[in-house]
Amino acid sequence: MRRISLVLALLCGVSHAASAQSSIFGIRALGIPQAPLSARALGLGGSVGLLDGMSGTNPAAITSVIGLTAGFNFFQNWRNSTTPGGTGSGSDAGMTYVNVVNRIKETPWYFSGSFGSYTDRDFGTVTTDTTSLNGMPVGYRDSLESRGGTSDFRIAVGYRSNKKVALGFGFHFLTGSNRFSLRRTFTDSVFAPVQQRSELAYNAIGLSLGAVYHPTEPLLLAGAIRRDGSMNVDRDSIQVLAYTLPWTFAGSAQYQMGQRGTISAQATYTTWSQASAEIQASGGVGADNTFQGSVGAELYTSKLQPGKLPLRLGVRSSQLPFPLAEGEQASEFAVTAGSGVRFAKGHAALDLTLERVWRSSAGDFSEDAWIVAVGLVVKP
Amino acid sequence: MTHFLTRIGMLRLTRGAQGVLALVPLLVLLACTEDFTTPGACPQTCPGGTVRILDTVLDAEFDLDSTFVGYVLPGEGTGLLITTPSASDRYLAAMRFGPRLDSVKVGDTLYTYTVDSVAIGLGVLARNPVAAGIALQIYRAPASLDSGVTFADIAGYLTPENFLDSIVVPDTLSDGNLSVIIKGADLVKLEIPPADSGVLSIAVQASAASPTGVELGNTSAATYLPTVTYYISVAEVDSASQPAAIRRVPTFATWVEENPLVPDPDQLLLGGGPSSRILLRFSVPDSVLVGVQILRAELILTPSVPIAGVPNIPATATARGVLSDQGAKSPLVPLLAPQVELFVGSTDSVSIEVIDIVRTWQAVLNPPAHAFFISLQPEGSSFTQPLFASTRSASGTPRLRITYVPPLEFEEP
Repeated sequence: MRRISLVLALLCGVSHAASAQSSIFGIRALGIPQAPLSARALGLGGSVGLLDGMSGTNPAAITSVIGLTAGFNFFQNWRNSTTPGGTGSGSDAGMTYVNVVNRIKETPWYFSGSFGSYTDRDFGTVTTDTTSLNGMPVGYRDSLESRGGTSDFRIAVGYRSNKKVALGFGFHFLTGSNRFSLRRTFTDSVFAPVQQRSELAYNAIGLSLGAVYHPTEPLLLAGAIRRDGSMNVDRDSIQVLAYTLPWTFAGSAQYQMGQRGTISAQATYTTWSQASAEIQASGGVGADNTFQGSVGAELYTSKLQPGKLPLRLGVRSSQLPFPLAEGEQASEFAVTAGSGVRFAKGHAALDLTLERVWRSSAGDFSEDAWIVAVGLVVKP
Repeated sequence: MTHFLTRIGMLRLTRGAQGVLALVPLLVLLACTEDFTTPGACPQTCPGGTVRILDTVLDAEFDLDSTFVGYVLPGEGTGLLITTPSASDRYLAAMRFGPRLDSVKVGDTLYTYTVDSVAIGLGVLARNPVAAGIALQIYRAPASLDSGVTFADIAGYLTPENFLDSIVVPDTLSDGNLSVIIKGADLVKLEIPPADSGVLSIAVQASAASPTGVELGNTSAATYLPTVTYYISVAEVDSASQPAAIRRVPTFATWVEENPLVPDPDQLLLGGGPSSRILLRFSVPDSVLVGVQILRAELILTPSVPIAGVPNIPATATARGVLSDQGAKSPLVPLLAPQVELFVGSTDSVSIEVIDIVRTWQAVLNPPAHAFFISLQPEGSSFTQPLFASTRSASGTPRLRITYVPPLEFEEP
């Protein structure tokens, strides 16, 4: 355990400066939701998230992990964003997703601790326009930046008494902050630049329940329900807002195609619109419920060693909860490919996933991105 | 990393696996590039509320604006003012040089000496570059010259009998030192009677083809100060041992104005000699100061008559913050001294950018008084004398215009 703690500390240090995936569709409200997926699950389009013990969507899935296991997942994206104001390119590192799972010795109980991004609100926009100052039109350039988002710390307990059924319970502590800064410079230098900064702090709790059912040998089924509470938003230590966080309902299935591999599918529905009225009352645009569907296939290249360089393919389609304009919900479509290796006599694994994402909404807003995910799994 | 993990015994890796694992930190490092900025399109990509720029114009507090006189006396400033006799408001200058002894020491012996020639030097600090044919007319003045001298006194010295010489100011000269050497028979004009104890005084006025003025350097004007240099010789010593010239600068200098401005009680006077300053007080509501960001602050003064002075000789109005309002002797906020150039003949409003001073009013602890002290530069040495409308005037009361931004509502989602 001491060794694992050491590795955890090291990798957390590496990822300290990293933040989540930025997107122009993460500008409003809480930003863009981030699924707590391992690099392996991401390679399958997220279609095995509910069955993957190293992902954080289903607390029952941790019962599929044998022995003490730690997973570290790193993300980097490169994107092109288009708005009516023009097109720009950007890149940033995502928040590292870390998950540690262990079985309590000689019991059917499993324990997991994980943290990763819940929503991301990293963005930077530049806008130019003209305003009237002292009765005269004056040009200006706004540079608005936000850094941060919310994180999901999960403590999960799983129970598996037989091969058929596993159950799990998760407690989520959601916390984070946004550091905003706005700098407005005027074309007329007699006006000093506007420079304002502020920090919003978030906190909420959530609960999740999950199950994994293994009715027949080739079929695995999983389901999870998650309820996140009210998200308190503090500005400079004073609560200014509270959002009602959503219910999430998810189901997944995986079919084992003999020694050729697996195919899987997952559907997730999230009731983000519960917060819509609160967001609108605060001057925001609102929120919409989201549906996400994904399918994936893991094809073994070695029948004797399925974990050796399998080919993972996935497709995901989803809606985004926080529109840029009312009634113009954004959507996301992604295709993924990946692979992995096991080494150190099965004590370590390295997964690599490449994801291509397209996002768009009405009003000439669109974005395409490449995301690279690297996952390291260690079983000491 | 791989090496480290292997060393601590966590991993037993093949060489190939070690190589693959070594890529992880490399990928992590490569991933540390961040560039978030994209073109925005408001209102869709502009959360956090709207930047509301507000503008407030405040009149100075009624009847609490004042002109205070007597800060810099004529002759205490850097310049000495002279005009031509044809100027609408005449200025004359006079100065008394330090005494020279009637003997000089060569080696260990005192000798009487002979004055062979005398050079009178005057420095031009500023002049109207448009005016042509300017000359400095130098007259002998009594050695008793002192601070009680009046315009009439000095005008009385400007007689043909007292005329010493004139110095032509080249039309191309904007500033510099000029001198005239008096020698031979003219030296009699510079003889100093024993009763004057070696003291020489002169009076100066300008002449030109058209009315104009010249600002001469005073003793505090760096290298442009007035001088008188006596070139002497001692008959008893050889040429190699002759004493050096005797150089003197004024121990007293002043200028006088024929028709000093006398402000109406409803007007605010700036400049002149003794110099006047203006104290303006404002009552600024907290809504304009507390928690806001000030983008611009303009102090607006309106001349009640065209600004008097000699055209094209620069002068500025300088605003200073007031640490503590104690009237005429209020201590001033250091360092901050925004200024604006004044133009002779203009009746346009004068606007001074005072944002740095107004920002000091936002201090939580011991903020300065909401007041400004306005002075004219060069103080006590400028022809320019604006008369501004006061809060008691029918129009043109001094105003402070503050442009500011309240805090943004970043929490607006």
